[in-house]
Amino acid sequence: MGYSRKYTSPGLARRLLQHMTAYHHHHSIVEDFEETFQESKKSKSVFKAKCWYWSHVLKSWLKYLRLIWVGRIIMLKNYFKIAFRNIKRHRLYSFINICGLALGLTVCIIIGLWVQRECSYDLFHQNARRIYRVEREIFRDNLYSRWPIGSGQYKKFLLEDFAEIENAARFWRREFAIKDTRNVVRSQEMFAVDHSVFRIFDFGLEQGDEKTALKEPHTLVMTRKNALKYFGTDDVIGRSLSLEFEGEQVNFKVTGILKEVPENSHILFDTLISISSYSEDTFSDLRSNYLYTYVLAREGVSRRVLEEKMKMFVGQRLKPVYGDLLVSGLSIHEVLKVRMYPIIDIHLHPAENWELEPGGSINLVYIFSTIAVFILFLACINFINLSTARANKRAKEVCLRKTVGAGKSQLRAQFIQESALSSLLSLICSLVFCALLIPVFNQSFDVHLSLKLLSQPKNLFAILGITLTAGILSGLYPAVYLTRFDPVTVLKGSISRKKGSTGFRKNLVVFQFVISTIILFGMFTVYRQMRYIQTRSLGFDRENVVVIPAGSRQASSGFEPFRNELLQNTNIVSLSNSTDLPGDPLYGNGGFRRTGSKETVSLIIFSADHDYVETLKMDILAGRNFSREHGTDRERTILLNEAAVKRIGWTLQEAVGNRLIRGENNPPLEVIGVVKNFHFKSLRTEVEPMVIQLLTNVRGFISIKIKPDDIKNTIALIRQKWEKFFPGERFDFSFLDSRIQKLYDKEKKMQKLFLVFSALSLFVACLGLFGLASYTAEVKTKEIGIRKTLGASAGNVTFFLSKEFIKWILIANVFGCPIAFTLMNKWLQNFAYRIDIGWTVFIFTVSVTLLTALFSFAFQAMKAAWANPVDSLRYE
Amino acid sequence: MAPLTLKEEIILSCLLMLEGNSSGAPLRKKVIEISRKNIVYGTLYNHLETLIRKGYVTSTKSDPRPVQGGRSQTIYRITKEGTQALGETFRMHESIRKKIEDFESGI
Repeated sequence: MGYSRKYTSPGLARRLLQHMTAYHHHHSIVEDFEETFQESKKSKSVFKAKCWYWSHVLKSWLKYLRLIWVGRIIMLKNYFKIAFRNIKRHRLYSFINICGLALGLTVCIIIGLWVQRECSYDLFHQNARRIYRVEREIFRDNLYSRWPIGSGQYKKFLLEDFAEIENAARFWRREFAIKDTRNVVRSQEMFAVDHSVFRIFDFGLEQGDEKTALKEPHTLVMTRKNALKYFGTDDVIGRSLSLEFEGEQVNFKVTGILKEVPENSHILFDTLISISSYSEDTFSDLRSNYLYTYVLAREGVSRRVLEEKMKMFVGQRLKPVYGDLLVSGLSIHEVLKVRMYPIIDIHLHPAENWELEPGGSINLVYIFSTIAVFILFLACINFINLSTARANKRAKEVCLRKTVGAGKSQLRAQFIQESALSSLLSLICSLVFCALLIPVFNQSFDVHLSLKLLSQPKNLFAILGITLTAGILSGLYPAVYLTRFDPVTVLKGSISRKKGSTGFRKNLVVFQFVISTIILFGMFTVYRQMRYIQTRSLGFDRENVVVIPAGSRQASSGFEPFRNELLQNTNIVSLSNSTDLPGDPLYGNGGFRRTGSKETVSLIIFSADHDYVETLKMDILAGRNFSREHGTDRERTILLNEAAVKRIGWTLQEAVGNRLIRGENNPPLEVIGVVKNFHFKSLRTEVEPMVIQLLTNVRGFISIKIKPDDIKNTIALIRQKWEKFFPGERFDFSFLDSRIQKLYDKEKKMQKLFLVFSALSLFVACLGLFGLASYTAEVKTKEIGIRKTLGASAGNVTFFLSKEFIKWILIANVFGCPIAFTLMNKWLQNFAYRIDIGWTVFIFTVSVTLLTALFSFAFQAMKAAWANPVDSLRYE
Repeated sequence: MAPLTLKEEIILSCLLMLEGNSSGAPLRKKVIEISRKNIVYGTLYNHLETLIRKGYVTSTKSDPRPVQGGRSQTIYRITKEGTQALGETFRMHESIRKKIEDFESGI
């Protein structure tokens, strides 16, 4: 050989050449090229030699590619043809595969859209990642509370004290009576905001100047829809709207038209008024809690830095007004923290109380995402199971292909292609399912999903990607398994069924039912907990109580005559007034101490009139209720709940007649009675210690206990009297029990979703079981025939076929139940008052999985058992 | 005996000149030298395939090259039939040449 012993030709070009000539064994092409290259290098130049090498390789590569692709496309056509034939020939299996996967994908798509929406809250603001809500965390008396609301003074101090804060704006939610152009009075919720709101947020104005719109007092901006509602036209800039403002009718000038607030905003509004309409004195109390403060941090300032700085704010500004928190030698930083809550996190991590809109739940997002993945996984398992089960049927095809020269990789590609095709068909079905189910989902779970979201390129790619991945992954195992057959053995006619593959299938079925068991167990536990919550005694009678908000001055002055006239009707049992309602957040909270003691106890302060205990049918355990006959009750008497008595360290008897002092220098208050604990918050939290004081002027809510006989007419009567005594005041009634129910909206949603998903997962798992049962029956036709000929009854045969499946389901339950028990026990820890997961849940789960499974394979087993043995034995 | 095309004739002649056997690269070089025309490997291999099919050339593998990943080279060898076919063609050319000379002297 007349050339160097080393390869010196361009590496990449040589590899391309080697790839092209891999099957050309007649000529030593690479060697010849190398030789020519080396000669050329010597006689001409390296560059010219390389050019020659590359030009030849590239020219040949193009031709080679063309040849390859033509071949591949022809094979692809063939694979598709075979795939379609297989789908057509095995309709049942194909239906199970495609339908199961379509269901999995549908769940995945719907949950995916929902999760995407939940995670998109407030991201539409350009500065979203720099906007924070100022919140406080208070650790009082071992009780933690998160306060998103605060004083109107925060904004001023934060801007004055911290250069890291670029801007700040306050949102104060108020309800106003509006008199429109036709003198109709309507009540509407609005936000009083700073004019800086448009600099921080991207809410924006359609018309008007964002810089000046809310600068002047008595100005407002509203949405086009609201303008049409109040003025009948959207050309309203410069016109005035009459609002009952601080007890007087004041004209507010419209200075702008708001853009519609996107639905995925944690603050929703249609009218904003200038907060400068209020005098500065309104906000002078640094201790009060009523409005939301948002800040825009400067570029590059992190949340951690801001929160660290807030320690200074707490120490210098808040400490003087929160002196009562400093008991038992605690420092202010141990009991009070100011947090900067990123607005993009508010929706999924809402505060328990005083949140602007009912928030979402990050746990729900996690739970449902997991469920979606699981259900898709179940559908993929069906696919793998059925494909491997049917492997024997296709063994001959595989081996024939092998004999005529198909390589393993080609065969694998064929099977993966087939499963990808099935998954694409599933995608089409699932899109149809989605179109049908999204409206139902929207209605049931009060969300706003739309199929339009799917047309976004990223969503389209994601769905296509998930579908193809699911298809390819579920085709992978069958592809590897099928291509392992030895052509000689198979074509001779003896297909050995390896034990390994049956074991794998078994494991997959068991795994499917483990998942179904967990979801079912979860569903039943949630259902039982919800039933418990709905039926548990709350310590008061929530039935047939009509609640009307009564905040205005008019309501205050007309309450007594209104009460007296209503009580004359026999359908009205009693009537009372209170500052707060069970189920609503309680604002008051104060430190109390026993006379002669320095230990301060934090108690929630609840104000109600004489009839509240009677109206809500609460039990007085010791002492007496407030009474009109005791004139002194108006000033210095209180009721305690059991929890408060326990917290203070008294017995019931000791409590009555004893005295408590609020704060430092106030006169002592006498405890006249102890009320049995009642749940004024949701059952998630324990009953907190509470003091009930007598309400001296009408505020908050009027609660009316009515008889259940003729509710419609009774409500009509109340409305009539309301309009008589409080003309122009909105009659906005609700029932106490439905208000309380609202506390558990999240759990109810979860209950519904669990029901849907457990049914779906069971259905998908049963589809797989049904397919496998029919396959087993088919494979064992001969065996069944022989057993029947030897005297086995139909029952024996059914049992023989079913026992294995029953065994699998029971094994799945053995694994699934403990996992579900642990998970659900953890979930139940969220509730202070909860059920014990008893045997009933286990029994229910096992029986439902067994019954549904039995139902899915019994038909096939019975069909096989009833068949004539003559036909069975003639088979094959 | 299958007739030879001009290219096949040149390739066979070159093989003969290279002492009856050669690998692809020297053969191509010789062909270019003799015919004074470039020939790409693809064309050369095609003609060699035809010659192998006609039984005029055989191909054998040499030992692999003593480098990492080195492959064996294909050595092309002219057969007895190949030599005969080439001789036959030359004889044909010779008779044609004589005919031409006779024709030209007759004029």
